[in-house]
Amino acid sequence: MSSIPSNPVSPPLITGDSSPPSTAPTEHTFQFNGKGWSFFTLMLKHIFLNIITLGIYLPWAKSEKRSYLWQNIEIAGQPLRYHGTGKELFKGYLKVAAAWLGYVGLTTAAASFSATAGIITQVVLGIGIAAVIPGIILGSRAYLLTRTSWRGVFFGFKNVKLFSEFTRLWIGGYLLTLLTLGLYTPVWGNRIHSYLTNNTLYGDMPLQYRGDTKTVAGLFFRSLPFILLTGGLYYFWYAAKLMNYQMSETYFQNAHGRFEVKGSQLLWLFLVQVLGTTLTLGLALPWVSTYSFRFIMDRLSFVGEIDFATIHQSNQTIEGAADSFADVMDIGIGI
Amino acid sequence: MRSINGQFTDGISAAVYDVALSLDYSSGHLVVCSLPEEEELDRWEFSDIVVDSQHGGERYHVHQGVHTGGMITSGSQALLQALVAEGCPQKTVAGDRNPAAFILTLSVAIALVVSGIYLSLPTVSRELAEVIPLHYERALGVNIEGILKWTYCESEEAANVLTGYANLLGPERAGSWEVHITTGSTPNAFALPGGVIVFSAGAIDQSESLEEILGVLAHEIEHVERRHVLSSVVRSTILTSLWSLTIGDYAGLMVIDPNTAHNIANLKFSRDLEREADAGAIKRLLANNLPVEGLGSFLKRIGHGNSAMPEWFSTHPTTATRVQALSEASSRVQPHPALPGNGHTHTSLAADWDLVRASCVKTIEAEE
Repeated sequence: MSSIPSNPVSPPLITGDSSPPSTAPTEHTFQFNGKGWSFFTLMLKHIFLNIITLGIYLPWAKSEKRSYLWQNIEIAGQPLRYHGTGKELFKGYLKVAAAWLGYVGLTTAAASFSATAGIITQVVLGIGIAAVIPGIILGSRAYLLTRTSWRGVFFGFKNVKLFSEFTRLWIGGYLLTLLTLGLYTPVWGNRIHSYLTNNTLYGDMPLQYRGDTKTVAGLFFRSLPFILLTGGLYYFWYAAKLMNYQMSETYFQNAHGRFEVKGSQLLWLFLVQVLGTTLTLGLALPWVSTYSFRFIMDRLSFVGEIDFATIHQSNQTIEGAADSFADVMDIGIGI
Repeated sequence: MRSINGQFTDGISAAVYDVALSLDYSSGHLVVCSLPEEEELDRWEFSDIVVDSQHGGERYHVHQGVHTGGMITSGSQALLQALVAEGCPQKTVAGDRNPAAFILTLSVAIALVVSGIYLSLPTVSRELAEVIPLHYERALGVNIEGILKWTYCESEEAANVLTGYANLLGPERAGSWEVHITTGSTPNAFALPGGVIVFSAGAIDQSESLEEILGVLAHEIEHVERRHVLSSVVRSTILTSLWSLTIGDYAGLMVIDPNTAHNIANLKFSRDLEREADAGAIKRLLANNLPVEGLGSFLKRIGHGNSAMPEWFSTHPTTATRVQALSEASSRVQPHPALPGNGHTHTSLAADWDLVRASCVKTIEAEE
């Protein structure tokens, strides 16, 4: 039985909201509470179960890892929650295995006719795989979003289709990037970022990205000479400016994102990640991971008023197959 | 229990409400009331409740059902203990409650499992290699050869000579042996699954007679016939696949990739397998009336096996051990039972040696 008043009895609990009236905008901060030791014990458990099940436990390990990470990410004092299951991912991996067997079977059968037939089949199937990559990227993101809730309301993604405008955007941008020897990269990247952000939903409300391509491209071309002159070192300063800009142009209702990071800090994070894992032969990975998450979350926030009472649940179901494909093809978000 | 304050989301909108929480033991419910009106908003059955307490104990979250939206946040330890006492499952990270014991137990378990796999792998690999049909083994060898893309420099005559000796020494697969010489100044010789045997030009250059090459050839043939090569490929594949599955790298499940192929080309067999191959090589040479001292003299010159390392630590027997064993074996062994027997003589070893030795000379000179 549920009897909810039409208006919240008290204002939605947002960090800083209980203080006396102030002209300062409300800041919804992010926080990561995960600890290296607890993440380490979780990873150790997964290694053991993966070994004795010859990898069959992997989808459940993945789900549990995401569950741990999500639940340790708090936004304005409330944690994210992961609702995906190992069973969903396992079904997805079975589909991946079936697709791989189909690919091997077709190419082997064609090659048994002639070498030329084998080559043609490989090329055709390769083009087919390349054509579905954008759809897989979308499907993977949509799966993660629809399995994530905050304050009891699920995230979502609009326009989840295997072939959509995103396919044209992705493939066209990729080809233009090749043709321009990489100079089209900032435009392509910004358009991808814009599409993905504008189609992301929280409840029944979309995020909005208002960043313009001209600014992003200008940032890239102004930074490019310094990146080349410093042997790539200046890339971290460019990346920091890009991330700060793109976050500041991301809106949800009347709040906009804020990400405050410096190039030197990104360089430090990179060194921690690379040296921390290689020098410890991977043993420090749990601590490096929790440090990285904390680093990002400490600098991330949304500033402005959000009327949470107007955000309602939307029901969206996405299968886990795209996420499994993305994982095997190394084109997912890596978690 | 007196009511406890907390925060409540209903799973319908994203709003969060200040609420008062209390337990109704008679009906088995957690009751949620608005503040300050204390109007009942919702009540959850204990059987529906899951508690997430992964935040170091300061706060925890109470969920209605596994995936429905309603959630309560509270810091009250009294409420947490009461819910757990009512049988509400509490989710924690593995090892959170006793991390040292958990880590120690799991580490020992992983060490035991890995040790078990490592110890049983040679036996399992050999058993699996025995059941693989010969034509599959041949196809695997061709596949590996294709990946490695070596440059062979032997002349047709030299190839015919060496293949002829291979058919003699390995009559079980006569007609399917292939012997090649690849460019490369480092002395090396190895066999691929299916009967392709490769010498490096450096091995030919450092040999002083055809007898030495034939000794090495017989040794490699014995490895192939006893399925040492294939069982090592199987073992390597199992280990690589297990590692890939463990860490979730499905791309690593490619059975033969360039890295694996190169590893096969540089396989080090165990000491027992090397002893088997040495003993078998002697029998094959004897059965064909071929000199048996060549392998020993070749090993002595090349210094095969790491004599600076204690033998128990090395995957190869030391050179001195192998040379002694070869010498003893040549004095006592009988001809190989599977081979046709004695009686075959060779009068043109020197001529054949000149042919083989001249095969890749131009290539070696170019490299120098």
